[in-house]
Amino acid sequence: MLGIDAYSVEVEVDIANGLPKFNIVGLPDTACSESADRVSAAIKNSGFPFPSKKITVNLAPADLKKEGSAFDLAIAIGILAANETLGKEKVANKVFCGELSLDGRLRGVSGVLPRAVWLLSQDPKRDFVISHENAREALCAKGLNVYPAKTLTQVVGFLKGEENISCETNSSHESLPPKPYSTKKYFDFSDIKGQWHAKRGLEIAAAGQHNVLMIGPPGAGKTMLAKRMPTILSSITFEEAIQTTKIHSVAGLLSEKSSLVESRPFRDPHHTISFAAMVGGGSYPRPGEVSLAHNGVLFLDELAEFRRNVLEVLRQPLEEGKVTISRAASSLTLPARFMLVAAMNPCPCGYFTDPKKECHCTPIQIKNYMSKISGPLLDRIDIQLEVPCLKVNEIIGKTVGETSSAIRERVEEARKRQRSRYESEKISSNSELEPKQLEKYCEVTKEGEALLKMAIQELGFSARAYHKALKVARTIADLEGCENLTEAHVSESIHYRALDRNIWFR
Amino acid sequence: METTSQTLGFLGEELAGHYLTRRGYKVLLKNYESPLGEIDLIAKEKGALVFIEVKTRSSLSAGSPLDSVTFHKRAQLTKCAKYYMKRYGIKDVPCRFDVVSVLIPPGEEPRIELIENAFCEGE
Repeated sequence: MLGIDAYSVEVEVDIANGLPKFNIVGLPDTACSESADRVSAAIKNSGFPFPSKKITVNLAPADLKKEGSAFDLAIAIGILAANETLGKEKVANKVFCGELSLDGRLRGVSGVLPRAVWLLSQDPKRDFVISHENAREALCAKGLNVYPAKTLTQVVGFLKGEENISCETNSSHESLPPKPYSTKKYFDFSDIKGQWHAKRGLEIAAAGQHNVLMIGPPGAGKTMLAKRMPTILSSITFEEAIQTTKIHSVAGLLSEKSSLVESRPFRDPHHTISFAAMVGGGSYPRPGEVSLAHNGVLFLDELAEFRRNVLEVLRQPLEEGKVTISRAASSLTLPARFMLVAAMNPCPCGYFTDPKKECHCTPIQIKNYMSKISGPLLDRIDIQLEVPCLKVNEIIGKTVGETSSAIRERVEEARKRQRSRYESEKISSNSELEPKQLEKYCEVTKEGEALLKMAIQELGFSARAYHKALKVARTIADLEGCENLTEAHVSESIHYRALDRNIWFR
Repeated sequence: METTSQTLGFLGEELAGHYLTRRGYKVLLKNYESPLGEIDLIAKEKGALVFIEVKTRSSLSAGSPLDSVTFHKRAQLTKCAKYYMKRYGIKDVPCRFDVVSVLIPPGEEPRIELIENAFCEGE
C-alpha cells in the first residue's frame, strides 16, 4: 500500500542449512518484522513442519518500505512451499493477503479494497486469497476471483486441491442500491422550526456540492441544521463509493459488515484537531479528515475555534479536490473532494447579530475573532448564510417544515441534471466548474448580467466571488429545472454571499 | 555426600548424555571449550548437528533451569557454535540448538526434559 494505491510485493523465501534464524529483509517495519514470530507459531500450531534452518524472506521490491501485517499469509505460504510441504506450482499465480494469528486463524487487514481494485486493473485472472473477514470488502471489486479462508490449514488444503474454498466472484455489484444516509433515523429537517432561509441555502449547497458557512448566535440551530445535512444529500454513485471506500479502507475504518461506504460520509472533527489529522500525515502518510470526507461532507463546528494553520491547510483541497502530503518517507496525493459545511458565531460572546441580547464584545475582539478566518478561505466558501435567532411564535408554533426526503428528492433531481450535463467533462457537480466551462454552461439573461455587473462594482466581488456566484446561480436554476440563469437566480445567489456584502464587520 | 554446584552440574551433564543417547543422539563431544566459551554437548541426530546446553538444578526455588538460558547465554552459545563450525570447516549442514533441563531434587528420581530447537540465532 502506498497512500490509497496498492502495489504488488513479491515474497521470496530461501531456506538454507546453518544456524537456525528467521530473517525478513526488504525494509519491513515493526509490525512486518514481527510477522516472523506470528508465522512460525501459526505454522507449528497448524500442524505443519517448521524448518529449523536459516530462513530468509525477501519482500521485493526491496527498496520500498513495507508496513503492516498483511504479508503474514504470503510469508507462511512461501515457507511451506520452500519446505516442500506444498508444491511450488500450486502457489504460482496467486495473490495472498492476510494476518495470521498464533493458532493459525486468518485475520482481516485494512486496505483490502484498494488491493483488490489494483489486482483487477493489473491481472484480473489471478486468484486473490484473503481472510473471510475481508471477503465482502474485496467483493466490491467486480469480477475478481476471491477466495475467502478462515485458517492457514484451509488455505493449504485449498492449494493442495484437497479442500474446496468457494470462489466468490462478484458480477452484479454494479447495481448496488445506493442508500441515503440512514444511521440516525431520528434526524430530519422537519425537526427544525423556522430558519427557512438557512434550509434553502443548505438545499442549494447539497444540490451543487457548494461549501457553506453558517453564522449566527448560539442556539439558533446551526449545529442542528448541519447534523441533518446528510439526510438531504444525494445518494452516492458506485464509482464514488469505491473511491471513498478505498480511503476508509486504508484508514481501517471499515468493519466486516459495512464493507462498502454506502452513503456519503459525514465527518465532524472536533476543533482541537491537529493539522496532520486534518489533511493526513504520519511518516507513512495516512488519510486525514479531508480525505475521509471525500465525496461527502466535512462539518467544522465553531470554525473560528480551529487553529489557524488547520484552517489554512484546507485551501488546497477546497480548490483542487485533492491534497498532497509530503514527508521524508514519501510524498503522495490523496483525493479530497468534500463539501465544507462550517458553523460559527459572529463574535466571542456570540450575540453580535442578536436583536434581543446585548453583545458585550469590543470591536477589537470581534475583529480578532473574525480575522481567524482568512479572506482566501472565506472566498472559497460559495454560500454564506446568516442563521438568526428564532422568534417566539416560531419556537412555540406547531408548523412542521418539509421533511428531509422531500428535500432530498429535489436535490437528487438537480444532481441528475448536472451529471447528464457534465457527462463529457469529467466533473459531476456545479461546484467543480472551471471558468471556461462556466461560460459554456451558465448563460445569463440580460437582466441577470446587469445585476452581476452591479455586484462587482458595488459589492466589490472578486473574480472568484463572481465565479462562485455564477455557480450557485447555476445550481438554483438546476433545482428549478431552468436551462438559463435569470435575474431571480442571480440575485438569490448574490444574496448568499453575505460576507462579501460587509454586513457585520471590517 | 554433599552435592556442590560443580558436581551437580557434572552429574546433570552425565544424565543428559545418557538420556540423549537413548533418544538416538550420537554424542560427539562433551564440554567443548572454545576461546569464546563452552558448549556442554555436541551431538548428531538424523544428519543434523545439535548444540546442547544442559542446565541442572536441585530445586525449583530459583526458577526453572530453562529460565536461566538467558539472552546473554544464547548469544554466547551461538558464537561458540559458529566458532566450532568454522574451526572444523563444517558447512551446509542443518544445525539447531537444544536445551536439556535436569532437575535433581535430593532423594528423588531426577527429571529430565529436552527442548528441541530451543531458540534461533539472534533470539
